[in-house]
Amino acid sequence: MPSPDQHRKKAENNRKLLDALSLDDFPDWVVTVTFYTVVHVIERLRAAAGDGDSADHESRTQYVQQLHPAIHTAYSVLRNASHLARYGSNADFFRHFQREDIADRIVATFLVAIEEYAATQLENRSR
Amino acid sequence: MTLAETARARRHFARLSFEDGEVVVTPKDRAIFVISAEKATEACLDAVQDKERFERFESEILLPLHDWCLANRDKVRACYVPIPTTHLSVFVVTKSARFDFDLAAAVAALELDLAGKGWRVVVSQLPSTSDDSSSTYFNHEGALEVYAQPGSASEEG
Repeated sequence: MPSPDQHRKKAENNRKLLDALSLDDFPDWVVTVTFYTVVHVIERLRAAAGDGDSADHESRTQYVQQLHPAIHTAYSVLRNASHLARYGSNADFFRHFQREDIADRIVATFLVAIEEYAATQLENRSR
Repeated sequence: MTLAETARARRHFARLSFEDGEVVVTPKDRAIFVISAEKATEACLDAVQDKERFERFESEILLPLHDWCLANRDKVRACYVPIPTTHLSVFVVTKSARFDFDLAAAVAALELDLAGKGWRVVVSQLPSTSDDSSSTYFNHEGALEVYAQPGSASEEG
């Protein structure tokens, strides 16, 4: 079972990759890496709470639904967008998402909301 | 007829209809419906007796889903529940090709509401595509069609 610190490092690495990716050249990967950053942010929360690991995306969804409903909408949107980015065609992806959707909603709104929520939760736990 | 047209012409879904707050299944679609309902309840409601399972699947999943689609019919073209595995998946197919973030928030609220009743459920938005590529995301065979507006792929089949 990875430790909270291992999940923190994975999340930070994914965030670095995200910041280095060109939104113009790899918008689908920006969405995908955003989601996998969030996966480790949530798994870090889970590990820090002693709640074990999520076996898959569905069990993580269930965990968020039950214990962190405040970020459920953000997580649900990122899971959905990432699914479309990973499995749909490039042509469909460009019809589904505009550049500003990814920059303003996917990253600046939903990813940041989950990061801030997790930071607050972890800070409260450490007090 | 192209391969894609042939595939579209063959209807795989079990088409449900809703009358007076009840789910109506044609005899032709009954077997598919029973399989889906059994799988869904096996995955999500282990502790519940069989008869109650079916009633709960109808009253807590199918009817609310249909009502939700009706309430969002300006944006929703169709809604499908594939044969469940470890959890229940719901796919909301939209009219627009663009991912609708407002609808996504409503989809998330729907998912949370269904989960609150004890179901392991994931609800996803599938924006419209030029060639109905929904089979990329779920197996049409045996899926329950909870809602479909005229012009949906299966409506044409």
